[in-house]
Amino acid sequence: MPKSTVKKFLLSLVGLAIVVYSAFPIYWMVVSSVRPPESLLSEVSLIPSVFTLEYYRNLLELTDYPKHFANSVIVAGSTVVITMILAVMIAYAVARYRVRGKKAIVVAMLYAYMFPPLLVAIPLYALFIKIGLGDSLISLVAAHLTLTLPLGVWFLWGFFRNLPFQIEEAAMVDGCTRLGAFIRVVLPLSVPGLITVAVFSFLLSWTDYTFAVIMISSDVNKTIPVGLASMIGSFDLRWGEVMAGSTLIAAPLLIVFTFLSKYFIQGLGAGAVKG
Amino acid sequence: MAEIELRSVVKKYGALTVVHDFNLKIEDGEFVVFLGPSGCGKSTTLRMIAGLEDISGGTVRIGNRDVTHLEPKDRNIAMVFQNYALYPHKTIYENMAFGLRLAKLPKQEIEKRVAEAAKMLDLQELLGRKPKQLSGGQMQRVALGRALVRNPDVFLLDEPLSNLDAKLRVRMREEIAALHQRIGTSMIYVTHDQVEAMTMADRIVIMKGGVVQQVGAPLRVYDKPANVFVASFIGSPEMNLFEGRVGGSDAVVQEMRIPLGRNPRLTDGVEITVGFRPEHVQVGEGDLKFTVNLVEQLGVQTLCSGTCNGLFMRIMIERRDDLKKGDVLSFAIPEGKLHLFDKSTGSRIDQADK
Ligand SMILES: Nc1ncnc2c1ncn2[C@@H]1O[C@H](COP(=O)(O)OP(=O)(O)OP(=O)(O)O)[C@@H](O)[C@H]1O
Ligand SMILES: [Mg+2]
Repeated sequence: MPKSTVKKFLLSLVGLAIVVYSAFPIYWMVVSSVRPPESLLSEVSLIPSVFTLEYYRNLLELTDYPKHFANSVIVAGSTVVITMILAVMIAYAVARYRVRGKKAIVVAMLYAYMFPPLLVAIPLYALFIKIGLGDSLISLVAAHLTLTLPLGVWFLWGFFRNLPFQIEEAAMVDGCTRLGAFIRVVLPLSVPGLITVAVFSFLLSWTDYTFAVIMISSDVNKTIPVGLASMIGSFDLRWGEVMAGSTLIAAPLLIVFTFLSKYFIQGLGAGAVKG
Repeated sequence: MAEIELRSVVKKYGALTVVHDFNLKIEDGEFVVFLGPSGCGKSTTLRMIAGLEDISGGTVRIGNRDVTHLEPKDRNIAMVFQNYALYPHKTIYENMAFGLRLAKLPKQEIEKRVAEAAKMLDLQELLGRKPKQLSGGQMQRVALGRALVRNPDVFLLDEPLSNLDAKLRVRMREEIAALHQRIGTSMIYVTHDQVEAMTMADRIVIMKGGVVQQVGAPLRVYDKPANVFVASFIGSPEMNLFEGRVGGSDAVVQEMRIPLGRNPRLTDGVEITVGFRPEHVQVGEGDLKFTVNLVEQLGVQTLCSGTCNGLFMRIMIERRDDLKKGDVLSFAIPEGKLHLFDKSTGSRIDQADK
């Protein structure tokens, strides 16, 4: 075999090993969510011999899971929308205009991002209690924004900075207003960056446990990670339902990644090289 | 089509003034080149005409409209940028049609205009491609096409050729000049390349440090540079310039004496800067002695650098194959080819025959 083929083969092998290593637990989770209770903790075959949707039915009919799922959708959805709007505006302003102390703004944001969430969460919680927003979805969205906004601004800042300003000027000479140039030229060119930020914000918000467990105390306002965790804590541990619940948490992520991975990877690349 | 007029235009960034009191009237259909070294304010001035830069003082008129405070989109101008600034996400066709669509032109009209421009610039084959799939020269032609389809009052071009290689630059230079002749729209062209300015311009505006140094036709500027800066900036190889003083009927630079000829009578001892172009010396006559140090063969001509009375200078003569280091040539500077400048102000000392 020529040398390069050997190299490629080895590389593929290593890649495969990594994929198996990280994907197997996910696979096991999915499989376990459809195994009947008798064999759940004993069967070791890769493909279950008997399928059951019992856990899903229990989960959706007998627990607060649907409510928690809806809460998660609301929180993650709002977080994404608000992050996108604010991050685009701030990042564009910082990238294009001579803003006094713009470096400081960006650095401060990154610094905020590097703060351990727990340290941010507790004072935030106290604050929200004070203004009467304790234990609300709004407070959770606001908490998530402390993570997603710095990340979004920082990422889009790098993205916008690398779009040649002349393209906008060309559009303005061609007959656009400043806003028109932004909408018709800058935004279409930023799609990979925008999608990357949206996916990251969604991910952070959807999977967040730390903030949710601190901010939310009542059952009706729980998001799924917290809801699911409280199931583990209760007296009889129902692995089947937990696995089904986890599978449902992961499902939207899988869907998002499948459809957007192309842009996502493009966006990551652009941000990484130039940002 | 329209004339353009800049009256006392000023640009300030905070306390820093980068364009000082710029006055210029550009005739309808004229090709004007802004020329100057990097950072002299050429682009800034052009961008003020385009409306991409706020004007700190003065007025800009295009046609009979005062456009000083209008948005770029309302000025009916077209601009070609140094890095082409094509829309990367649009096809070549869409790049050219974009402005027309914004102007809400009917579909057939858009198609017709784009087709015409594409034909004129030889872009027909490329209309379906994206900018990334073009070469530099092709991208530059698309940028020109995008400007062309809009039928603007004036074309503004900011160093449009500086990203191209030397050969392509010459070809595009000719294409732009030909385009200008064909459509007859006023053009303002920014460059720091004096050859581009000399070859293309009807008039050159030479700038330095935000101040206009001279405005004139290429040969006028070449023959009668208004000051030392223009003298050294225009022409290649550069003009030989020396600081000295008037001594009788000669200009005296250290040991070297250059006869002033018919030049106006100047008071003995006046401090001056004298200059002559390398291509204007006449070899084989006169009393000045040039010692060859380096010979550069350019083909038709031979460029020598060396010294005269210990002063470094260049001379350019008809092709000579026999010259080598150490040779001594006698030379003279013909009547009227000597340039005199006031040493302290740098401005030209006018001659009687002006
Ligand atoms: N936003 C700004 N703030 C402060 N000074 C600026 C700004 N933009 C440009 N300048 C200054 O204005 C001067 C003129 O700049 P300009 O871009 O017009 O030069 P130029 O003649 O086009 O040079 P080049 O040939 O390098 O393009 C420069 O000295 C530059 O440093
Ligand atoms: Mg410039």
